[in-house]
Amino acid sequence: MISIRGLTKAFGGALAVDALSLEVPPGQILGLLGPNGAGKTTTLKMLTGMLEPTTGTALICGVDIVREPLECKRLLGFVPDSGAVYEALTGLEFLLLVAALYGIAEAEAKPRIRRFLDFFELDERTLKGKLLGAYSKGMRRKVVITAALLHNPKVVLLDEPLDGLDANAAVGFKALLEELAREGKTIVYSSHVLDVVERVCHRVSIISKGKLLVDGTPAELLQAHGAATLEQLFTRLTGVAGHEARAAEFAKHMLS
Amino acid sequence: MTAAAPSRERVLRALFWKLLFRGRSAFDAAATKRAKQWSLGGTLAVYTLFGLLPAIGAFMLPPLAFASSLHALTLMFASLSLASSAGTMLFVREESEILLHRPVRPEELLRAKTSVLVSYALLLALALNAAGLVMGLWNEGNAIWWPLAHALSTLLLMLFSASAIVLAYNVCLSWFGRERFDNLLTLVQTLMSVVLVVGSQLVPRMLRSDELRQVDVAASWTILLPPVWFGALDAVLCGALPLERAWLPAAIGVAVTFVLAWLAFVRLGAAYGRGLMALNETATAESDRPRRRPLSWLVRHAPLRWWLRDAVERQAFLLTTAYLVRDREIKLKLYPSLTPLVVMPVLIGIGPGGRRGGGEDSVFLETLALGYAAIVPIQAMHLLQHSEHWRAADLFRSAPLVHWTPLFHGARKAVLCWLALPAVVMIAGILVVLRGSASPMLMALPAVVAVLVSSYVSGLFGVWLPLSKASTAQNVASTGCIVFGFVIAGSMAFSGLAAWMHWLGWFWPFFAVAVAGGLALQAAFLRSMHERRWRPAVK
Repeated sequence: MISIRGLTKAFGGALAVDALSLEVPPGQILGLLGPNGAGKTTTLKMLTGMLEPTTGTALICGVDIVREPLECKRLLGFVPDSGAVYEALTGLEFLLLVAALYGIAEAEAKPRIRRFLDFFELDERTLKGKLLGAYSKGMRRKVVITAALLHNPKVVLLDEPLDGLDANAAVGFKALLEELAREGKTIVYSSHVLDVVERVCHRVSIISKGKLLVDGTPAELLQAHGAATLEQLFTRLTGVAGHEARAAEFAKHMLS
Repeated sequence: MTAAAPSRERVLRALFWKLLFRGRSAFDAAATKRAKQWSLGGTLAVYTLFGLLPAIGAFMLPPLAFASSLHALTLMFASLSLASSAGTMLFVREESEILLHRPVRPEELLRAKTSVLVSYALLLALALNAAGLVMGLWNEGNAIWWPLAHALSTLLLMLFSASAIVLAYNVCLSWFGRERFDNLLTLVQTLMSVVLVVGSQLVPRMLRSDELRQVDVAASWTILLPPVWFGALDAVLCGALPLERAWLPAAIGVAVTFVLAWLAFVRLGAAYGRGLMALNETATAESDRPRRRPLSWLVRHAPLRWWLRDAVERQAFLLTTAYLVRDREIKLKLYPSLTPLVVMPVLIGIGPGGRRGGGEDSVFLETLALGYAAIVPIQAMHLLQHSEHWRAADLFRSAPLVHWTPLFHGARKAVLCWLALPAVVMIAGILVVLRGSASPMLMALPAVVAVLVSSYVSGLFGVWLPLSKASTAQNVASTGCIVFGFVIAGSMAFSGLAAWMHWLGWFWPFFAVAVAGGLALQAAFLRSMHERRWRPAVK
């Protein structure tokens, strides 16, 4: 479903993504992990056609994102970490706009939107009457997720999707992801919340400085690297050692 | 059977119309929409009234000169209005996160935005030309279908303007990075507001000039002027001029319009998508280049160190300065809106004849002009209260601040230091050069007092926190206009008094009294602000 070969993005002289290659089959949830500035968002933006790769190819369901961007974009849904929306539109206006961009008529879009409303327990009056600028962060995130899934995409790319969602909505959303994967959708889940990734994702790829460090199921990775948790593995591969000692030292100085 | 989804371009056009009227972020769409509709109605009414002036030319000017003057006015006002809103609409950073990953072609996005902008500019153009469309029927040699012909040529003029603007922005975005592009955009919009203000003063004078009556398409220089191209097109369509005299400029007008439109929308249409990507790209890329910090050096040394002794005040000064220099939204709103406040006084100060040398009447005009600068701090403080980052102002509310005034004074001092006092110096300097007299330097002294006093005014109406209100809230603020009017009236009266005292030979005693009065007002303002309780919690 997603096929990335030697994907590279250079900003001036700096390589944000360095010859990344990955295959994600249908029905799989891939957790994309990495420290800040590792190149996760840049990778997702190249997969969505928002950034042009410097070299390499990315295929979505066999369609090249550079050669046939429109076809690709119809196949995928993306939740950006910024959660950007047109704040001067009501939630309903925004979702109808998105539906129309995917060629979904209003009469068909409205029942779909209502199903998402029910799922996310969003108030219909709020969605119709209030502008997105006045929504809480969680409500806005629910609208952004709805906008990404409204056209029933085959590939779903998520950049910190749980940011702002309350615990109930987060639990519901994780269950939804598992259900979507069972239906055969390909899902890439980029996040810093490691325990969620460990629980939700079938497979994990850790990247740092634009390069793929490890790739496999959480169990395989933990076994191969002798780590007890994904967090331990992550800090071992990408961080500095001795976090506890550093924290103790810092707190001592900060409080003195 | 359900209705099919509308085409993407239609959906996008509807979206950008909505955003044009509502802004990109708003809390109360209905209020903003009403305010914008009123504002649009008012603008159209003013444009219609203003269009009466060149329309009178129908009874005096030959056909080409008449049509060209209408197109010149349209180019001046409607096209510049188009240019000033184009940058903001065409390049919105967060738009890529909303739309670029959806099945939308950059060309579709560009066409939808441009068609909305052109339609809006065409509305303005039609209001400007409304009187001319009717009165043109009485213009010597014009056919009965003049209104149709002129409406068509106006439409072409708008297409010409839109194509030229889009092409210029696309080329600039291809050549410069985002940061430079932001600066360029601000510069372009500021220059446009200068041209608009200067033009609004010059066009009425030009319309009275005899040279305009003698515009001849045979003269080589006139063929370089776009209004003449479209004026010639009117003349050709109405048969007001022999074809052999008018066909060349008319053909140039049509050809240039179509070539520019092809370049802007077809040839470089895809470049627009790359431009949007570039906005996205540079936002993602981290700059390794360390920033120089001359400002932090400045505030650590005299005289700013003495002026900014309070730590909170100093940080508010730095915050405001950073936004004045770095924030695209603030720059795009602030500098174009301040430019007329500098250009208008210069035009007032020069006077109708633009005479050189001194004389009491010229001193009077100069003092009035310099007094105009008292509005600069009010306008700047009003705009600096609003930002797209308004949520960050929660920091001020959650911090254990005893009072809000240090934040106000920090911002106020930044405005005085970087905008208001330089504006007085600039106006005085320009007047000294243009008038060839040193008197503006002397008369700048009362203006400095007026500017210092007016810098407190924004803090007299409730709690003032920098960058603490949503951007669109300012569109519906009406009290600002009343305050604005009072300050203009007060400042003009004060300047008039200063000029009169100068004429009587009592300038220095007057100045001493003015300084004492300014200090007394400052003390009263400070007391009033301190007496206001600081309740950080938002209701």
